[in-house]
Amino acid sequence: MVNTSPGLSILGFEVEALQSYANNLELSDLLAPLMLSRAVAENLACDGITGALLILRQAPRPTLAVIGRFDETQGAYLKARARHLQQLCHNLHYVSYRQAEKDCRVLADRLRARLGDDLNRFYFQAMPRGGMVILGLLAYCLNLDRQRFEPPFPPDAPLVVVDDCALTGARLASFLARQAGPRVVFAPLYAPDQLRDAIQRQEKRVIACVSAHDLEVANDEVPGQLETLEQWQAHLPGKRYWVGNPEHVCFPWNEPDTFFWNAASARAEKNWHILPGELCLKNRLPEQITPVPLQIQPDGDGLFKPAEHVVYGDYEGGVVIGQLEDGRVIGLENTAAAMWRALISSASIEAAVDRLQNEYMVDETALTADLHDFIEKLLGRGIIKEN
Amino acid sequence: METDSKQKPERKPYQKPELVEYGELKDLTLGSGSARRTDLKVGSWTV
Repeated sequence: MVNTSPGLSILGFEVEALQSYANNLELSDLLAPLMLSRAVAENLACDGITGALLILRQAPRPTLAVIGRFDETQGAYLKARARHLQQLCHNLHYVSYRQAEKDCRVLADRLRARLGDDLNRFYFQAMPRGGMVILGLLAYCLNLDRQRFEPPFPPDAPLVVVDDCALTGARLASFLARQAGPRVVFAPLYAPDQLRDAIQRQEKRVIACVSAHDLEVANDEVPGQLETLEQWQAHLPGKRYWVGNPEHVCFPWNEPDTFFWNAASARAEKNWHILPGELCLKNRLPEQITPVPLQIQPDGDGLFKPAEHVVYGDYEGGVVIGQLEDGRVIGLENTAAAMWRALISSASIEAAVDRLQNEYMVDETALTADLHDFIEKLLGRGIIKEN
Repeated sequence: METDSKQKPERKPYQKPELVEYGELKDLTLGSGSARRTDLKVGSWTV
């Protein structure tokens, strides 16, 4: 059932998670929360969450809140993804274009070292789409002739299968199922060591797995209320050689999809992406989808400003205020909303009264008295403070 | 006769301002910091 009053929920940010996000992407302290908030706005739009408003408060510490009338299902959706949002930021390992180029040189050296002169007999196949970026760079690093990576290849030609990253090997398994015969070297730029071992154990045709860098694996914990990783694997479609908890490797062109176990719905569900479309080609929104609106909370340069523990947004003509300290959500409607806006943007009581008198049919004496009374209530509840 | 294009918009009816209780704020980030990578598993069917 949908609540009649709008609700306000805090979606972020956990301090260390945001720091990891900023450091990885080399973003300033102001830009990092903005980029992450834009990613959330895009995710909400993609998932069809309508009537939501995001609020980003930058100071004293970045906070992202969402205002809306959400039913129980939407509330559970937000809760699960907000929690994983922080974890993905902790886990982020961003690889820039420049870094990818350096990594391709390392991958080229490792392929030469592993295969020696035999490498000259191999043809090169890219995994769409991220693998195509890597193969383009690798072709320069290895000085490959075009026919070595331009299909069709000779029957039974040995292949180097190139990808930007491999996390469970699902794409390789799908490729091998369609491909008969050839010897294969699997060359994802980034992959967990455990995955490469698992592939070589399980696929006789794969004679080597070579990466430029290992992805660190955090732990062997099982998601949600599942008992084993095998149970988790059983809930994911397609063949996988290994499941685990590696770093969240991302590129300017690709952020891999990640999933979590939702005990309430008893299924694997997709996480939000954490890179906005402007930082990752794959995450750009289709033209027909508009991100959920994002308001940047003003500091308040009037006679009064919102207290440090207050998050607020202009929603459906009113103002919705969240108090982080006592956990209350207050609504200001009609005249009260106008008074709030006048108070935090006017330099004096007189200026606020003047502004409100232009907007409302009220005499100055009554308005001034009500405004003082309103200020006392807001100060008494710790919602505003004098600038 | 010229019309005044800068005419003030019609003023709205005034009501005494009230603070309306909308309910409790939900902090959906609680518990995420210490958990870190727990629960996060990766699938790769678009990788």
